[in-house]
Amino acid sequence: MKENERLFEQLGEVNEEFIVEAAPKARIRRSGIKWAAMAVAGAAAAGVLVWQTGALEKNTKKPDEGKTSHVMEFPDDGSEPEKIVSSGEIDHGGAGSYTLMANDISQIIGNNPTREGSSFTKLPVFNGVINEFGEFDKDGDGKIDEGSEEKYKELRMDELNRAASFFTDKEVWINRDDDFGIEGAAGDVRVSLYGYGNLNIDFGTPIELPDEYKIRTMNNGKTIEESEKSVQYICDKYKDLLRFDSPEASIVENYDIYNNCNTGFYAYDKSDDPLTALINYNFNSADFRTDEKQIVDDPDALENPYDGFEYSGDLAHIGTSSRLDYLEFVGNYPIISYDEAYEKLINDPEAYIWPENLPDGLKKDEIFYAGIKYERTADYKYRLPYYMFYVEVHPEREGIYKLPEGRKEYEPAYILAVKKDYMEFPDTEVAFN
Amino acid sequence: MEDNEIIALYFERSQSAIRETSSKYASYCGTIAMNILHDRSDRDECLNDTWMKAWESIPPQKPEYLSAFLGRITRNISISRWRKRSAQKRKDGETAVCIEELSECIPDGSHSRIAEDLELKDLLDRFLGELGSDARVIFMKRYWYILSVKAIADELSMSEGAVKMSLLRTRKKLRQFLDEEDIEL
Repeated sequence: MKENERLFEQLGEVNEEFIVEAAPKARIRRSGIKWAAMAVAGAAAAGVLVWQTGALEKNTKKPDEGKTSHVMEFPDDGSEPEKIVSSGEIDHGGAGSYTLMANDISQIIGNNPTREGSSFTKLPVFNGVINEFGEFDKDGDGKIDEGSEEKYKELRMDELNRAASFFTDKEVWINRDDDFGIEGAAGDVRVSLYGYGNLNIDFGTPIELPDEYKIRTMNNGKTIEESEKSVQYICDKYKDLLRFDSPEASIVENYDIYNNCNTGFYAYDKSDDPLTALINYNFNSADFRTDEKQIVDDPDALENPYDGFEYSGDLAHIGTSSRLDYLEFVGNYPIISYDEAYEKLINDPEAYIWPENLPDGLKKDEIFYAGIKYERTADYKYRLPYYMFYVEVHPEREGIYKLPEGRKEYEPAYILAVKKDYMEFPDTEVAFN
Repeated sequence: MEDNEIIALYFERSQSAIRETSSKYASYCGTIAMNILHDRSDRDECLNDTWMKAWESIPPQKPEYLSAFLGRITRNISISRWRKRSAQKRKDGETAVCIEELSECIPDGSHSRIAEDLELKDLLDRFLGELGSDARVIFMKRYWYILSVKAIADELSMSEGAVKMSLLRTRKKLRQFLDEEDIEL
């Protein structure tokens, strides 16, 4: 047996905690319908009206219908919501959970509408209606609805057809349709839809952007303001697809150790209503990527692997997140204030939801508030709001590696926003324990 | 059904242990087998072998993490099947690519001491324990679960480039780590 094969086999024997931690979450069958129904029933019993997004119907609408950017209302009759049974731990596989390297915090902080502060005392909490197998229990009786899987497949097909119809007249052919998601192609436009309504559209032939709006995912070479204009242009061009009324760009730049600058181009539907803006930021957003064409056989063999690619600056990918379509409102929950969250971050190591270990002795000038962020809990039950911070970390002090001159490294840190009085922590925290 | 209840069924030697295991873990283990073998009938046979092996192993074993316990069995059975299949034809698919990528982690071979399996496992545990959780999850998804770079990127909402870069960095770190331990594979 070759050395690499032996290494591959021995990797199979590593600590089980690492195996559980990295389990491909989207395929895990959960007993979620049971808890979803219980939570919804509980909310109803407590006198809270269950708000339906109507999204299952929305997906069947034609391209020119279905604006989503109305002011959102989450009914609140003042009664106490049911306790949330969850550890509150974040699913580590989620977005925004990575150490970022930048010259300055402004490159990575993004445009969360609550970044500059907010006055919420309560926020809505959501849970999943549809499990990873496309089954759902819409009437909340605790049983999977008969024929729900077929119905959901039909709805997903409608969504893929709708997406493809903006770019081609060709019919969508399905390549794969299983519990992981649905993937298809119409001509050289690939469309896919995964678990929680994340739609991806990839163009075999990139869509040409005007010179002034060309952007590059890697080594963009543009200012954040220029990149924002490009995103605005794309949002305007595809406004019917995105269904945004007031697109707001959010640009994030992150360097790697080879000095490449990786830019994330995001947008969400802004609103003058603070709650609608926050919900849209978290559940009604889009991301755009440009093409990257491999020009050498083995880029990893190069000193800088990204020298092995070339970029035209044209649009190769549109991703939309309509996860609220697949979620159900549980109730409005009292939340701690920003000041309380900040205090917990500084003085209460037990309060960190993630990461598990932040450096001791956090300095106030090395902590940056990024706004309120909804994250999926590790037990797959809820989307809970968290106060999100970036904390400057110092890998060179821990001997991990030396940062290039002028670079800083930031780690996201989350503090659960829902007051702990409304949480009930179960004994088991992950689906497969 | 909770894992401890399923394990209790094994200890009672109740046939329903296999039914409950299959009901809860067929998708998880099936994913692992499919990632390695890319063949539905092979996957189904691997799953049957997995349930059989679990039946033979519990008791005396009492897994702390039933998912990882079963997943490991499936992985080993699937790799063994993949090897036999690949002996008759060109090695291809994601498994072969993963193994090839791991070549970059092999020290230069100038060391005289060859690590025993147990020592190598301990070293890998130590290395993974010292990695940041993000890099570790990406590494494990690629080389334990044999997920494609695209699947990892989609699941973690990252670009494929960022996943590749993370894997590259971790492979280089692993090579450096093994090199510093003065061992040969």
